[in-house]
Formats: sequence, C-alpha cells, structure tokens
Amino acid sequence: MSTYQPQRYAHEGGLVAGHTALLSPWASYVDIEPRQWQRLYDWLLPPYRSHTDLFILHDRGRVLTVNPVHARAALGIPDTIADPAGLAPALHARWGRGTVVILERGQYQSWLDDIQRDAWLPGDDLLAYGLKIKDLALRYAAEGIVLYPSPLDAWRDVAPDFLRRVGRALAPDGTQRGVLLAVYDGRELWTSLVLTVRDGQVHAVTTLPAESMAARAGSWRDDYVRLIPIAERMAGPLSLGVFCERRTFETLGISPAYWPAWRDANGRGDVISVPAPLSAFGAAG
Amino acid sequence: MSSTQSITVTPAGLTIGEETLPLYSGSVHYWRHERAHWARVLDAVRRMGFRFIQTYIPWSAHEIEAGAFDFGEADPRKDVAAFLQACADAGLYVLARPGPHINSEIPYFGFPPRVLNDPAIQMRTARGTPAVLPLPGTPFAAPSYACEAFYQETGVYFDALCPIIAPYVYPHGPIVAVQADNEMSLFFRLKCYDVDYHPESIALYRRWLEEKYRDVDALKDVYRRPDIHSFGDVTPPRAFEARTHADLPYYVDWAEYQEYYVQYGIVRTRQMLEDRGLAGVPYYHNYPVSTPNTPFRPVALEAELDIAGVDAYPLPSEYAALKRGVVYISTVSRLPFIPEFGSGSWSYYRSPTADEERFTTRTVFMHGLRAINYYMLADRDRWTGTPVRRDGSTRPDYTALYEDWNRLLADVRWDQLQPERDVLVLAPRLYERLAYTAIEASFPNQFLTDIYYRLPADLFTSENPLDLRDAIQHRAPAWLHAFEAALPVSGVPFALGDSDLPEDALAQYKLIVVPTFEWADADLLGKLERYARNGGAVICGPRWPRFDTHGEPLAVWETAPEPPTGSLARLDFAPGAGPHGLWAEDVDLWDAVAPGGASGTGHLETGPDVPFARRVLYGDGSITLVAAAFPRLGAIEDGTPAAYAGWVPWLKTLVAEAGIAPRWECSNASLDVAILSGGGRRVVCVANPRRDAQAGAITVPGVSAWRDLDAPGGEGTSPGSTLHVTLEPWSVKIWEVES
Repeated sequence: MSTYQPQRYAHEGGLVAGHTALLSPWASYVDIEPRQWQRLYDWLLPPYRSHTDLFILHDRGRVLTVNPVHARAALGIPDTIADPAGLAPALHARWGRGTVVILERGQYQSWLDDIQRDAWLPGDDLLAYGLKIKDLALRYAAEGIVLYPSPLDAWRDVAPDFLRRVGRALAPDGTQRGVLLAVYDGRELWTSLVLTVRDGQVHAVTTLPAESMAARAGSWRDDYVRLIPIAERMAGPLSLGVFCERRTFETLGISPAYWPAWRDANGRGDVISVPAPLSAFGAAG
Repeated sequence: MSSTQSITVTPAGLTIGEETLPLYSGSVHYWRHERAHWARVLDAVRRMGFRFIQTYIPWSAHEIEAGAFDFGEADPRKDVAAFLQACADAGLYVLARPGPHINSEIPYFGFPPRVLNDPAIQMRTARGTPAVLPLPGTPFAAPSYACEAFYQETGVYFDALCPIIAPYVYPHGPIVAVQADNEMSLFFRLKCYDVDYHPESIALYRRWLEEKYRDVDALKDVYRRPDIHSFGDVTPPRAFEARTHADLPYYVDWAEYQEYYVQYGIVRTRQMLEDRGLAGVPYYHNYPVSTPNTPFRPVALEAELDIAGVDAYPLPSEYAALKRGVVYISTVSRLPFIPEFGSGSWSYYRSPTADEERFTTRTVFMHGLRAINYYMLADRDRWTGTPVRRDGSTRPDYTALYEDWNRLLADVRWDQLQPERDVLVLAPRLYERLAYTAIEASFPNQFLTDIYYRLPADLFTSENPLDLRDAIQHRAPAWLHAFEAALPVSGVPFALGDSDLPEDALAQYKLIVVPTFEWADADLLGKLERYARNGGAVICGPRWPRFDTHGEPLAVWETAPEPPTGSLARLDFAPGAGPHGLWAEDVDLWDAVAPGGASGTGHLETGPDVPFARRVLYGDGSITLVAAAFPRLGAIEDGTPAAYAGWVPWLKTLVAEAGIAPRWECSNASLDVAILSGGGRRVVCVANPRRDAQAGAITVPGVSAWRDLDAPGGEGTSPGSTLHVTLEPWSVKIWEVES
C-alpha cells in the first residue's frame, strides 16, 4: 500500500503556483496552418483509433468490473486478484495489445482526491499539473494503480521542475527567443511548430505559413536554412531550431527515451539543429 | 417561452417579422479580431450564404477588475455595441451568447479567475475537493451553479452588459436569439457520484426532493428509511452501494436531481438576462451530448425555453454516434439545432479537412437536422481550419464547401424536408438514469479525456443484477443498439426518443420499440399501453415488466404473454461468426405450438417462425415481447450495422407484423440510407461511413427517376426504382427522386 502523505507532497519543491509553468495560460495560438496541424495531430492522436486497453476494477482483490466485458471469459480473469502487479503482465501476454489497467477502487479514489485537493494549485499549467498527476499515480503503482506496459514509464524520472528548466534554457529571464521544429516529407514541409518563448515561458504557438511549405532548394538539408529567417521574424532569434525528415520524426517521437534518442540522431546527422547541437541542451533534459 | 416574442421558432427556422429564415449560422468572435478586420470577416461570412452569425460575449474579456468593465473604451476590439451594429450593416442577424460560461478555449472558460478561485463558489466532489478540470491553458476549479454567491457575481456582469446590448435586440437591432449559458453539464463531470456536493447544491437537492415527494413519509416509504424525519435528514449518495433493486430509488433520485440541477442553471441564467432587458427573442441552449442520457432532458428543457440544441464535433469515423445524436434531437426538438458544429477545431486538436467537414455536414442534415451553427467560421486565437482567416482573407477549399452546401440547401428547400420514419425507438429514462447511477467508480473527467484518449462508455458500469434477472444497466443499452443497428439495414428508418415525449408525439409512429425489464417505469408503460390500445404496435423485451420502481405490482400491461416453456438457451443469429459474433443471450424459447389460453394472447401468425417472440393484443393494437437479450456492447467487437446481419431477417418479420414495409432495399449493409420529403420534394441520401469505397444497389419502391443534386443542370439523372452507386470513403450522395 502507498504510504505517501499528500499534504506534504503538495508543498514539496516545484509545486507552488506558476513555478513549473512552461506554457503561459494566456499563450496565443493564432494563424496555424491547417494542413500542417492535421498532419501533426494525425501522428499524435490517430483519429481512427479504437479501444485496445483492458480495464479491471477491484475492491481489495474482489473483481468488480472488467472492460471490455468479453475479456473476462476470454482471458480467464479470476474473480479475486491477489497480486495485481504480477497479474498485469500475464494478462497482457494473453491480451496482446494496449495497456492492462488494474485499479483498486479505494486507492484509485484516493488518487483522484489527491490530484484535485493536494496537487492542484491555481495557476498551474496543464503540463505541470500532468507531471504531478503522474507522480501521484506512481505512488500507487505497487497495488492501487497498476498499468502494464505503463505509458508513465517514459516520464517516470521527469521531475516537476523539468518544464521550468526547459523554459529557462530556451529563453532566460529578460529575453525572448524563438523555437522552430520543421519536418519535411520529400520536397514539402510536412509540418512545423513555431514557439515564442519569453522569460522561460511559451507565449505563442503557431506554424510556418502555407506559402513556405514548398521547398525551393533540393533536399531538406539544403532547404531548411530558408525557414530560419521566416521563423525569426515570427518569434525572435532562434534559441533552438530542429529539422528532420518525417520518417525520422515519426521514429524518434514515439521513443520512450525520446530526448537521448533525438540527441543521438542529431549526432548521426539525421536531425539538424541550430544554433547548437542538441547535446548542448542536455542540462535541461 | 415568452408570450411577447416578436420572433417565433418553427420547424423550418426562425420567423422574423414576415419572413421565415432557415437557421444556418456560423460563429465569429469580435474581440479576437482587429476591429479593422470586422467588416471584411463579416462580408466573407455573408458571401458564403449565411444570414446569421453567433458570437460569445465573454465576461473575462470585458472585466478589467472586479466590477469594472471595458466595452470598447480602452480596447476597440471589445466594443460589442459597435460589432452588433457592424453585423446589422452587413445584413446579418445575431445569436448572442453572453454566458456566463462560454468555454471558447479561454482560460477559466470565460469566467474571471478571481471568481473561480473563490473556494466558496467552487463546485465540490463527493469527497469535498474542488472539481478540477484538466484543461489546456490552466486547469481550474469549476463553479457551483447552486451557489448564490456565483449568481451574485454573474449578476454584476449582466448588469453591466445588458444595458449595452439590449438596444440591439430585434426589432431595434440584429439580435434575434440568445443562448442561456453554455454546454451546461456539471462542467463535463458526467459521473453520478462526482459532483456537485457544494452545501448549497445539497440544499437544492433537498428542496427538489420535497417538491417531488411533498410528504416526507412518502419518501421514507420509497427509500425504506424509517430514520428519516425531514427532508433535511436526507444526504445524497456518494457511491453506488445498492444491493437490490429496492434500494435503487435513492440513487436514481440523485441522478434525476442532476437533471434538475442542469436545467435549474440554464433557466435561472435565462431569467437573469430577461430581467435585465434581453427579452422578446427566443432563448436556446446547447447540451454537449446528443443522446438521451442523464443529466440532459431536451423535452423538459423545451418546456422552459425555445430550443434545446446539442453540440457536435465529429470525426468521420464517428458516424454512428453522430447519426444517433442527430436522430435523437430531430425526434425530440421543435427545431433540431446544433448550436456548435465543428468547423475547424480548437488548437489543441486536429482540425478537419474540407472533405471531412463535407461528409459530417451532409451526415447531420441527412438524418434530420434543421438548423446549424458552424463553430467557427473565422479563425481566431486557439482555433484553426476555418474558411475565413483572422484578417478576413479566405481559404478557398473551405469557403467552397459552405457556398455549395448553402446553395444546395436553398435550392432543395431543405428546411421543408422531414425524415420519413415509421418506427420510434424509445429509450426509457428510468434505464438511462440507472445506467448513470449503477457505477462502481468514476473517471470524473472522462468526457474531456475522451477527446484525446477514448475510454469505453461503460467503463466501471456495475455488473450487479441487483436481484433481477438482468443487469439492466448493461442490457438496456445493448437491446437498443441491436435494434438501432439492424433497423436501417432492414430498410426501416427509425426515430429515437425518450420517456419525456408526450403521447401525441408517440402517436406519429406505427411502431415503438422499447426495452423492458421486470423493474419498470409504470408511467411510461401506461403511456405505451394507451398508444397500443389506440392501434399502435409496441415491440418490447427482453423481459415482461412485473413491478414498478417501488416494487409494487403493475396496474398496467396486465395481459401478459404466456410464460416460456422451453429451456434457456443461446440463439446464434450469425452461426459461425466466431466468439465475438452476434448472438442473443438468455433466450426464452417459447412453445411454438400452443399460443396459450388467455384471451387476447397469440403468437406470430405469419412469416418465418420467431420462437422467442410473442404478441399480446391490446385494444386495436398489440405489444410484442421479444424475449431475447443481446450481448452487452463490449461483447461485440464490431458493433457496426453489418455485424447485425444475422438479426435482420428476424427483425424484418417482426416489423412486417406491425404493418411496416421497408422504405428501401440496399444490397450493401455498409451503406446507410435516409429518405426525406416535404414541400412536394423527396430526396434520398446515401452515406458511406467507412474508410474504403463502397458500392451497392439501392431500390426505393415507386421511384421512377433519380437526379443527382451534385451534378450540374440536368446531368446525372437515372431512370427506374433502382440505382447502382459507388461512394468514395466517408461521403454522402444526395438525389432528388420522382415517383
């Protein structure tokens, strides 16, 4: 059982209002080019997905609900669960997809209470709040909130002040900088993201304009420099510009160890970064 | 509704002066555009064929500090009066949305943060915490709509706003309708034991109980709680702990109270606005969910204001859910209206392509929508993918979509068309409340989370049958789904309503399909018995109702079919379909030979034998029990209509017994068909809701010619009653037909 004390947790470092905010609540999202946005989200959130996860809810071992219902008989799920952490991988081997989620009702309810009473502070941004939700879920991971394989693993070691450090690395206090991500597919700019970062916080989110999407130079390696002044006019001097091909982006983006993988790809030349190699940002990550 | 309205709501739209205009509208947010761009944006909207726009008037945009407001004095973009005049100058009528809740992707949903950060105003969960909404921008605590301090704050805003916009109410200005609040839904916390446990909400709950029961002794009897001596002794449930069906009224009342709570907030907001001068025009509301689920009651709401609309932000892959919602609202509303229909998307999500929007737009009109507001028509902060950019320039692929569609609607006079439907599928509100109530745990922000991560609708639904033969909370939705999926494949279109429909509305249909169980709503059964005695046909099942919600024997539906004599079995409708194919479970196999001795009973006398159904005659009509329960929804991996192919022959027989002939035959069960008629016209719509192209032959008896409404001039006309079609993925084709 979890032994953590939520009140103490709430006042640990990194949890005061605004302390971790990377994304300003009042950030603008304007003039976003729809095709680029559609492509980005089709990758981030495939629109035609279906349920693949298996949910089991139990009350101190007594199974209450299984969803989808046919899985109970199909997988031979027992009526009582003694070892949820041990059962989850075994069920996943039989289920063969998604995540197996086993929740103990009382602990799950406590987690819901924690994230609304003790973790939330007015002024949090959603990213910071999400990290706190993650941290609190991990405190119940032994028995109460068992996920296998756990989507939280990729974020397990990301500390609550991670976002603050990222923001400060991109634009220290008193400065405004731009951040550009540009992904090519053949001779076309496939998608992009332009961020305006001021005093360590993102204040504007947009894409490169539609008229910049057709490459003018040969390959993306020749063309990407064209995009830098466009982004700088929109957001300010770039503190970070990242360029790659779509296939590289799609491979790296879903890597659990995403930051080292991106850094390594940068080292191999599959990813180009300006004004410095991604390894220079290691302290933030 | 106001008796002094100068504008009336009709099934065809709004009657403004001498003119009835179809309500086709789109959203523009004045404060999010440079004022210099207003005229260009409005002109672009007008050129696409719109006569209405809809705009929010956000509290947090206008409040500078507590009690101080900027309506254009400091920031010209906030001059709402000037914007309303600009709309009038552009020939546009306005649907005004003053909130106080507006969402609109603004942090704090348009409320000033100081209001939501006041603990006294915050909605409370069952465990006393604030109800935190995990939204982009910043998570915030939702306010309680039972809290007087909240309404006092809202009143200060309305006091400042209403004198400015009231002079622009028709006939003095362009405002022709007002929306009371926005997507009232306990802030999407649609779980029975989640919210709102604010002390003033609990007080409101007790007042509502008193209004319902009048006498505390009546409540004591129903709840079987001798320890209760006054309504003040009742505390709301904070978890589902019912052991038998006798315990249910206490829990179901909490669900019904939440329906009341939602309506209370809407009606009170409307009253506050009317009291401050926004009167004489229709009021409407936009539920965020378009199915007969608790806590939404459109029929009841339309007794209090003019239109209960529903919002929809569909992806093409969500065709079935979109259709269900539109069929429902087109059945129950006086003007089927989607006040927010996705055009583009919020910037934390994927915006649809023009082709995707063409498909979803045609889908909603195909299934009976009569009024629409595209949200948004112009890009703005936190929104992208619309036909008009922030500066008024346009995206031709999107503008063409709206220009062409508005032209087709006008040419066909779509506002005169009504779906041809003989069958009403009726979702008993009692069972909807039970499904809302009987949950073992909550995922409180499931509605919001679903946008990004689809959770099963029946996640955590209790599997406890509560001393009944069935876990109704699972069985009732499955029963409805089996009929809703298979009826169109049988060529039989259906309407979808709930228990709130009045008897004269029921009388429009030849057949009503309704799930019934031993535990039943006596009032609804009485309504259905009167419908049957007047010549209607009812198909019910899987159980014959035996007692009411208080456990008392029923005084209606007394003539029951003979009890089953066969053993319980499982009947495969699709033999060989595999472990996840379709089957009916717990089938009561009837004695196929003897109809039974009771007067007025009989069995199906024509067509193939249907051993699990038995008909009882009532007056000039009948009630047929289909004694087969369908698999719970999660038990069918492919819940598409095609999966119900094995059920279709049985269903055709049952429907034919009710005197209903199919309106079409389609050789491909993946294609969906609808027929609409009115004003001397008849149109046939065919949808391909799948990711791959589909072909098929569609026969509509009596039709002699088909005219493709997408073909220019007289091209694309085909003779005969049968049309062979090939539809691209996610597309809808429309033909005007002649008989």
